[in-house]
Amino acid sequence: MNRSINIKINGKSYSDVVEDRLLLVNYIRDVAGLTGTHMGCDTGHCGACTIVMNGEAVKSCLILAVQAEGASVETVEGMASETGLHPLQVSFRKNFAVQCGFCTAGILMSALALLRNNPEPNSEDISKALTGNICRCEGYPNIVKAIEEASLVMKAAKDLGREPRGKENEKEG
Amino acid sequence: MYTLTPPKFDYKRASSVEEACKLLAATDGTKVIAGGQSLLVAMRLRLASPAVLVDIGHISGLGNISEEGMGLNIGATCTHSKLARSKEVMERFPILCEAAARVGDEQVRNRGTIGGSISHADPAGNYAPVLTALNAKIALVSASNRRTIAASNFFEGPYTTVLNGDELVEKVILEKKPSSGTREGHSFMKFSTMPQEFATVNVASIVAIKDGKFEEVTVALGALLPKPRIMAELGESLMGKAASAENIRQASQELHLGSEIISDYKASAQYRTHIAKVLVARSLLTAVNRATGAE
Ligand SMILES: Cc1cc2nc3c(=O)[nH]c(=O)nc-3n(C[C@H](O)[C@H](O)[C@H](O)COP(=O)(O)OP(=O)(O)OC[C@H]3O[C@@H](n4cnc5c(N)ncnc54)[C@H](O)[C@@H]3O)c2cc1C
Ligand code: FES
Ligand code: FES
Repeated sequence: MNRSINIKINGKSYSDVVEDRLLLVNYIRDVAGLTGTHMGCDTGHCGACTIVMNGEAVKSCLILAVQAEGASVETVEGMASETGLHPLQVSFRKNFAVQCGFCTAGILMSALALLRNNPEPNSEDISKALTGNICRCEGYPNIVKAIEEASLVMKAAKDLGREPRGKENEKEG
Repeated sequence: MYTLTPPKFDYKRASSVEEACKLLAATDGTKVIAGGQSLLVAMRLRLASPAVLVDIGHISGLGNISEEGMGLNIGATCTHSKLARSKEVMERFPILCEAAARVGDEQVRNRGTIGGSISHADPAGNYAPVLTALNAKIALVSASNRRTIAASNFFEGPYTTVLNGDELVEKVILEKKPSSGTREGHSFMKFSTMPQEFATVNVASIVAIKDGKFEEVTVALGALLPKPRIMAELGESLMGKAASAENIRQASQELHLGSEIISDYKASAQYRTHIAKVLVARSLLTAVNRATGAE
């Protein structure tokens, strides 16, 4: 069967008629055209397809698009703004936390959800939050370091009452 | 790009338990979808091909945790994350929070539900031994009937429960006995090849200690047998004895598991037996330390 759905992705509303069996990851990639979200294992084990849905990190390959009707979704494309990259993105680049980059979008989404719930995580909190994200080439120490550093940058910016992003922030990297 | 697409089905979103029950009774081959964390994988691997999927994930209130006397009711669509973080559950049944926090990974815990987990009845699931040890009850509902069943009778074997095709798990009921001057300690432990993977062996231990002696010992093992099992002999052998590490070690070494131990690509029956003995001893000691305030 086909069904019409409304989903908000990165603040923009999308309305489409989709097949019931379409997975959310395929909706995001093939219908909405946002290919930053990756499909790795296709069976819920790798975390490459992680997005933030209604504030929580979830695997978009384990959700039907029709289940997400009415939901608000964030993907990696929504992280940077006109004023620059998100501090997590800046920190990943600076700390060489990306090698091939296949896992990166999913890891950034897990990190984004983590920092919202726990703005000052220690390295153990970070490792725990990344249990469901598998990186097969970079290795985790730089990723953990990058998230830890981004949390400090974001906290410092918040303490100064500034938006934690921007060109200035990017140049530091 | 190649993707494993689930077989075709008709999707229906239920807005109440009554509506879900009606939809389940209406068409053969109808299945419930809650978090989808197990079902969508099974469908893509063609292990399940339901004609109709009834989504119960949006029924308001079905995932609530509510107090009932000294006990708690946990709604079927309560997610593992919500359960792991619940203050009420932590105060009364901390072992359930411990088990919820060890399900898969953060993303799976954010979507997967307790009702889905027990209905799916993976023999290596976290809740089966815990609910059995807690003597929990499971409330089932269909369009024509309601019944409540003890957790120890709910699980029948791997991926098999007493649920009929038109039935729904509505909630898990946990009753708390008034404490009788004893100190209780709980511990859930899961041994797995990777932290987010299903257990090779898991165990739920509940103890009550009075004057340094065991007043109550309940140990339920999961993942190495077709369904969770209370180790009654072990409990009896420890009852009345000093709650010491030496007594625990000795009793764990004498654990009798019978011939049904699962042997598969993850672990041989022999290895599982070894892990079970180690894990039972560790979790009992942790439970004792928690009861006596040593942890
Ligand atoms: C990577 C990964 C790792 C995991 N690791 C673990 C682990 O370590 N330990 C563990 O315990 N689990 C683990 N799981 C499974 C997890 O617990 C799932 O959340 C759970 O098994 C299914 O819950 P769900 O809500 O997603 O159910 P669904 O996938 O929606 O449904 C599962 C089955 O239950 C039925 N069902 C669902 N809700 C009800 C209901 N209320 N009444 C009747 N039938 C119902 C469905 O029809 C279906 O047959 C893991 C899953 C993944 C993907
Ligand atoms: S593609 Fe979703 S978890 Fe691997
Ligand atoms: S950077 Fe290549 S998989 Fe993580």
